[in-house]
Amino acid sequence: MQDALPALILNSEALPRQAMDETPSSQTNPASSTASVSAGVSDERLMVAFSKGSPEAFTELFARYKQPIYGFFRRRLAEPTHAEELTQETFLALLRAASRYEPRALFRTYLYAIGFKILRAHRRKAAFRATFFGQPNIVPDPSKRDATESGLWVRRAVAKLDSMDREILLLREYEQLSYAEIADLLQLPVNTVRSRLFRARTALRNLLEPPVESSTKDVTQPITKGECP
Amino acid sequence: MSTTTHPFAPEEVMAFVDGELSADRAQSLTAHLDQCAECSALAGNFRRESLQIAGWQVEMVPERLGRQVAAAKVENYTTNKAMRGSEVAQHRIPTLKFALGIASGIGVVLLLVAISVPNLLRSRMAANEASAVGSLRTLNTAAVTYSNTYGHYPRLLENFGPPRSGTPTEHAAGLVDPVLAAGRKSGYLFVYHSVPTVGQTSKGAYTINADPIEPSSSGGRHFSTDQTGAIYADGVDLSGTTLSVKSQERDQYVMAEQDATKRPSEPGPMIARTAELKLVVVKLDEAREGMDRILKQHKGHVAQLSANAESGAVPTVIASLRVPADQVDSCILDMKKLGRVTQESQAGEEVTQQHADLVARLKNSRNTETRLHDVLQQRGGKIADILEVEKESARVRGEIEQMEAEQQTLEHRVEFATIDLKLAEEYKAQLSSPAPSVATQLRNAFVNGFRNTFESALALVLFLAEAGPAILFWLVLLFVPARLLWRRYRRSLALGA
Repeated sequence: MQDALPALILNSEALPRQAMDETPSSQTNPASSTASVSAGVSDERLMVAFSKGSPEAFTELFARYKQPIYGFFRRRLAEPTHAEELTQETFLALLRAASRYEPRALFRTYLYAIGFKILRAHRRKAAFRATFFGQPNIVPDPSKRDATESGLWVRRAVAKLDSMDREILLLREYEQLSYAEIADLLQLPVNTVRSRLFRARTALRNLLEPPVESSTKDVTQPITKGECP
Repeated sequence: MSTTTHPFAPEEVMAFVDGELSADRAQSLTAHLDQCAECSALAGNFRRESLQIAGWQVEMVPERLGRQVAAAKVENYTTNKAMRGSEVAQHRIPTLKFALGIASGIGVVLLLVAISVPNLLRSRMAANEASAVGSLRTLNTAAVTYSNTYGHYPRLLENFGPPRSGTPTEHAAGLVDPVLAAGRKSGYLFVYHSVPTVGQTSKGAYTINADPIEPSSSGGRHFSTDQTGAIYADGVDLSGTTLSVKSQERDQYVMAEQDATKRPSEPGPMIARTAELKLVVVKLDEAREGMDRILKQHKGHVAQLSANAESGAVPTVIASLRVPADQVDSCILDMKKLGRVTQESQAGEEVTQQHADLVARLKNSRNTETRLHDVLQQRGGKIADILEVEKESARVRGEIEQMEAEQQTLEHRVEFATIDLKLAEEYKAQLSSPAPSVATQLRNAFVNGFRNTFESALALVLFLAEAGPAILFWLVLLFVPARLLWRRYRRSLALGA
């Protein structure tokens, strides 16, 4: 089973993405004319090609994932410059680790795992600086950004969620990771991911929607498995 | 109110919307959604919520990021080509981190050692000192047993030791272990001096000094004792120890056979006298000679003596002297002539009542023993009765010997008074001697450095040998919970909690 997995991953096509603004833009990326040739090739194949010495493969991967990775950091950090730095750092880590890459899992899981580690290190350093040097601990508080940006209510509502629920929701909604990938990334059971995601969505809906009248029925609350009025 | 059954939980509806439901389950749910308006509404809610969440968009990634990463890519490829893709470049940083980690670990261990080694040395010195006091007690007990068996105290320390073969003899009484009989035990050197006859004591006298083999590491204090059983630490009587030693002596007197009637009863009050005298003298050497002369004149002896003549310090002699009670006043008067008296105190403990009680109890016990002896002589009754009488006779015999030992010690305290004498030379400022040469200082520094290195390495080994298993045990025990806490901490940190 383990041996069959890399072949399966390598033969898979590039996964369809539903992220709204982070859709890989290989067709529109003017960085390299050769990159368009790689369009349609799976991420894993591109990464293998890059690990074997193809710089064009990396260009294509960068074009596909620069915006998703930047969005990943941008939604979790208050400072855009930090998001930019960590994005760069993530791709540099990918460059350095290319020769050790083995297609055991989906490339995007691999890449987000790198990003997650870098984010964790960044927060650890920030906490250390805040503790010993008195600098303000920069925590992700997206609700304090410019109020003119779109989705202000969403950001504020997301910021009010429990940290673990928020992370799972972000990974699902914006990074489009599957439950299994989220579970792998956060080292949680899949069922826990699902129940926490449900809880996060329910809480978020309550935060986003205006208070409902008593006569209006919230369809999620009364419905339980085994009963239907 | 009628109810219908929902075959799917809301979480499954959510998973269906997310495309995370298995194919057969998704097919069933699709059919259910066509029939159940509420579940269909729930699925619609999830979809609308996702669309609403999608409203949170971030700005486009800056163009400079692409240039920076492209530059880094070129540099990375150049480096990789130069190194032919070797792992050296990639493992440089992890190797450095590993080295730093190892260095940090060693640093922590050294710090722990630096903190713990002084305590370790102190505790070892304290243990050695306690062992030395215990050894002196053992020797005192053994000396009493020896004297009761052979009629005098041993001539040499070896006489306490076990015989090479056969039964114990006068030259190897087998009263202490061979290590102690050899004179070196637990960092202390034991020196035994026997005095054939002192005062009216027929068994003679002895002194035992216990000095640390390495004064700065194996032990700090100097101990001594004599036939009275008192143990001195740097000239100070360890009173508690003395009582304990006497208690042990009483236990060891079982083998002794003595006739208490040989001891004349003391008329008048019996007083155990002690005196303390501190003198400042002009010349310490002359004063010490004078002290020896006075002692000889009054038939006394030195129980313990320590002299300090270190440069920079005032030379002193601290001695504990034993003088016959009838000579103590004249002896103190003579001692005062040696220098200027800075402190003098005398004390006397009356033990007449204690002695009288002891004599009375001894007399009663002897009478009891005589009656028991008569009963045995008659040889009447059953064998069990005879055995019972013999057992009782043995018990009474033990009590008699115990009381005799107490009486002997008590009388000895009365016969010999204790004078604690301290002679200190008048302070005279001295011109400092010329400093040693640079070569000498360098040599001494190297020698000290080598010694310190060796001692610290030895201390480290000892520390690891002593504390290593315990540390390992606790590390193993605490590894799992510590790892769990660490992972939780890292996860909470990663989530920004």
